[in-house]
Amino acid sequence: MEPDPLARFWDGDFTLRAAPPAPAPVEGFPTEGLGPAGIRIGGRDLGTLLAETYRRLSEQDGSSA
Amino acid sequence: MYALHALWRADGRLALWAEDARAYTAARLHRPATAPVAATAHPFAAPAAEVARLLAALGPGPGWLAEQAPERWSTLRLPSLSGAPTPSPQLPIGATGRGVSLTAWRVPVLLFPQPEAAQLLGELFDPYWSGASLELPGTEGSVELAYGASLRWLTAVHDLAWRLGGRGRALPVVWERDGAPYAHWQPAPERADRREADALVRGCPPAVLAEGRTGAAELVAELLDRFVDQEIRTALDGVVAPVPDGASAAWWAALHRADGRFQAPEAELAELREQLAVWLAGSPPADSPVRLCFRLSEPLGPADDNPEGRPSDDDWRLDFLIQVVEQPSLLIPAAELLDGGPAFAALARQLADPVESYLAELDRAALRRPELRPGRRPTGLKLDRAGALDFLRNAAPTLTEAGFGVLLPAWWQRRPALGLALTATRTAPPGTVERAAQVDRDAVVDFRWQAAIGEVKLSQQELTDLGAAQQGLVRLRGRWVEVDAGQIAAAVGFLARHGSGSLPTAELLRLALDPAATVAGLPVTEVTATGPLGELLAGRTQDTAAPALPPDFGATLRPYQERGLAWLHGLARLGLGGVLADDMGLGKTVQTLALLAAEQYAGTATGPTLLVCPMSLVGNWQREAARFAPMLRVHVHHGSERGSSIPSADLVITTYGVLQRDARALAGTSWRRVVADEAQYVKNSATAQSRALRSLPVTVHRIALTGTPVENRLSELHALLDFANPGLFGSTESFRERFAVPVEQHGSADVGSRLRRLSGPFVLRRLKTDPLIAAELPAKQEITVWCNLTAEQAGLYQAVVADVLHREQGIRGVERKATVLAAIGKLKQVCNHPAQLLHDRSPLGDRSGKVARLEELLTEALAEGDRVLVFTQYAEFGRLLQPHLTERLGEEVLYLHGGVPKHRREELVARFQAPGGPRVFLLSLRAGGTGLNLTAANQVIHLDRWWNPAVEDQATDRAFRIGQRRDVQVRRLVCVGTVEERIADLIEAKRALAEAAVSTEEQWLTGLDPSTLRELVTLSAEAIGAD
Repeated sequence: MEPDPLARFWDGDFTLRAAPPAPAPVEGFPTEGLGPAGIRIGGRDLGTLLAETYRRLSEQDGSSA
Repeated sequence: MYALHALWRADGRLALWAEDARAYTAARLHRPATAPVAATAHPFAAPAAEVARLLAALGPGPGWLAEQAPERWSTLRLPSLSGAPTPSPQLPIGATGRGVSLTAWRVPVLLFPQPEAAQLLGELFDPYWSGASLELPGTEGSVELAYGASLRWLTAVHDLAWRLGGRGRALPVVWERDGAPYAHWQPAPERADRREADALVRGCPPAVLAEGRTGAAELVAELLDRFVDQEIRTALDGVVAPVPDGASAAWWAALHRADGRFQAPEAELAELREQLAVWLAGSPPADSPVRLCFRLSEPLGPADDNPEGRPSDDDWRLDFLIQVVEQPSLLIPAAELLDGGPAFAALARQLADPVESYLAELDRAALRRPELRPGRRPTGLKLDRAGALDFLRNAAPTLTEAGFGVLLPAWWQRRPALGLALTATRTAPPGTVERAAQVDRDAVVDFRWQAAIGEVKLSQQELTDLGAAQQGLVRLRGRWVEVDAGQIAAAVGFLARHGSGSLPTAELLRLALDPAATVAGLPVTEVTATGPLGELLAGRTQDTAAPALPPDFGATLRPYQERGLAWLHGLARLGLGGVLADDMGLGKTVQTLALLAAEQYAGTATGPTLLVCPMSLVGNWQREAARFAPMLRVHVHHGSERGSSIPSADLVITTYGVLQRDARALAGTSWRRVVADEAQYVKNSATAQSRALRSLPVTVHRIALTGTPVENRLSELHALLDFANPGLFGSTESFRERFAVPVEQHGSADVGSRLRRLSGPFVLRRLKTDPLIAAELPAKQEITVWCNLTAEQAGLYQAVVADVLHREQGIRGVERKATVLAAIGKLKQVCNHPAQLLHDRSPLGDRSGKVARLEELLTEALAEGDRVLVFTQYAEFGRLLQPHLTERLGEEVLYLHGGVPKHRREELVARFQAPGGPRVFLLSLRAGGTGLNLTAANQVIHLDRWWNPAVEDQATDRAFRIGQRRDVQVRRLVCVGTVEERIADLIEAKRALAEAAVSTEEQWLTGLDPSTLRELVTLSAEAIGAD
């Protein structure tokens, strides 16, 4: 007998993580290794600005992001 | 008891709803007898206000968010049985029986826009408890609230996005939202993140999709995209102060505030997008064994919903493929990889995680073209025509540039563009007679334009249909073609205004010969015509066979000379002029004479040919005509004795100087052809000589002869082309603007190439270094160059002759021999230069026809990059010549004579032989005739005749060594009508009889009888070259 396809309508198969899986091995920021972007904002290269932004995000304690 | 459920709506909002256990019980008591025919209210769903109360009971955060949330109804498809929805497992009702089906129910919901949704899902995320016990105001005791799996799943997805943002796993990009630019943080998940997202896709409760959404993968991708952007934006809000100017600054600021919209000029925005895409997409992994490819396929079969119909024009497909770098022909569809079948196993042997590698590369592609990532695990895209065209025009080059493989339909690579084709017909005006065989540049032809795509000419109806299609890709006569609405409109407008009419033949030729010609902004794809004009346009002038030469023509043409004759003949047949620009020594003279002889032989010579040349060449033409084309009646219109009328002749030879003076008399003859030899003399079309030349009436055509390279002096080329075909190549100014400036000042190879194609039919240039030509040449070319005397030379010559004839009468024996030899020697010196005879150290100036010819030959040879040995038997003459030639040529001339010491002699030879060394080496025959290796030279000039040809040959062999060079030209300069010519004839005659007969130096001359001696030395009238 085939299982009723709607029997699992309300169910999911997933896990809510109590904490981020032990400090994940950081592979680096997404733009690492790309070199200068050539896009200047306020006299600075976008690559430099982004690196600062990524650091700022990762240094926050998670209360805002 | 409540069960709280959630779903994500298509409008980008979170919907919360709840089941109420008490309502369920009440509903069971009032169940309708029949199933509802349309969506009706869910019988035990809690009112939205009740849901808000529940959220408020959870805490102030959820409560505040609930207060902001509007109440709405959503229609959900829920499991139902016997006309009623079945309760979720979170309600403590018990198991549901079988026979359940999905039925639509209207459910009251609370709606949360994206920012509030993100906040609420963050608040409700609870990994430990799947519900809460609540104290509801006005209700005794606590109320149980169970979180449905749909709600918990959404909090899990949000949690993943929140963690991605917290690790900076996002890239800043420019999106377009509601037609406006939008600064967006795009997720950049790592491998573990992808796995987690995949797990969420697999574990998605169907209840999340109850509103009718399909595809958990697409939903997860959308939610991650929204929430990562939301969370980073929230975290950065206010960090960056607005920067005043520029698209980049506006975009950067918008990445740091709640609303990502920003404004920027379109051009700056496009540049930002391009820069960003190029930077972020980076390069493909350096050592990856596989490459992501995109293959676009056109609609091939009928549409699925109409199997009998014709293929749909909007059923294009873009497949994603994995290409194994070492086996480029092995392309694995992404679908097979994601299925985990044999393809996955095969790739897994080369990649740690083939799926991850595929998705990472797809992400990289999506940075350039976001539409390539429609979901989490796409395998391809369906495209309509507009999408296909966008991919062909825009995405394909971008992806190729970024290192992806792109496979396009073959026709795209050679797609023809919309253009205009011109058809011309020539009709003789009333009352005139058509000259059937010739192209008349001044005639007017009727024309008709037609729109064309490649070679396909379009009917008016087809053009109208294309315009009405409003599509960039259209199937025309079974072939896909790319069309541009603007171009179609231009074509329609042009055809309406100028579709037919008449224009001069010269204008038609310009359109036909210019491959870059455009009309109304559209390329001219084809120009066709009837009659001889059609033959020219079809390139058949190049293919004509050489005409037959009379049996008594005095030379056998080499193959390339036959081709030259055929070309000249073809042009003459069409009435078009040409520039014969062969290298010196390749026989421009004999080809021209062959044309005249062939026409006379065929009976098609309708009038005389006028040949105009520098004074120094008159004798040469005269002698060459007598030698090669004795059947021609030749008249030399030159010298002080010339009359004012032009006698009947086949070939009239005159000089540029005489032409200028006798312009009126010469213009009185209707010339079949005018030939300008050394045509660089008329390079300046403003000079009186040039004007006189161009004003001569010509019935067939004009020919310019020149051996001087023309590519680098384009104004001169224009002058030559304009002489040959007046007006055909436009004005001097337009030619300069179109060709000379781009080529000479900007070094444009394209324009240079276009000019060569444009002028190609009218210029024939062969180089002696061309291997094909060199193969047709003898190893050593020996050429006699005929020179004339100046008036000063002629006067001196006659004085010497008178003296010797007088003195010879009274003497005998040894004395006579000495007198005769001395006199002949003096005559030879006169032929070289008056200063050599006079020993007066006077400047050489322009006093010698032979020296003038020598200067012309050296100039031409140096222009062709040649190196030249110049031999004279007189050391004194060499000493006079060296400084003169150095000055005239503007470069160093070496000189070697018998008085040069050995070490200096070796140094001179080494300098001449060295690459980049001096290119003209003057040698006395005695000093340079033996023991030297001078193989750098490929031209040898003998200024004066040695009585023994063996001595000349020995000198020539300094340059010509069998096995070392096969391209040496040897010229012997001989003054027409002088002792030089007669001795040369005697030598040749004697050599023809017996080689040994001329081996005894000059002694044989001294035995000549008086009458023979008189004949030998007397000056002919034709010797004088002065105008």
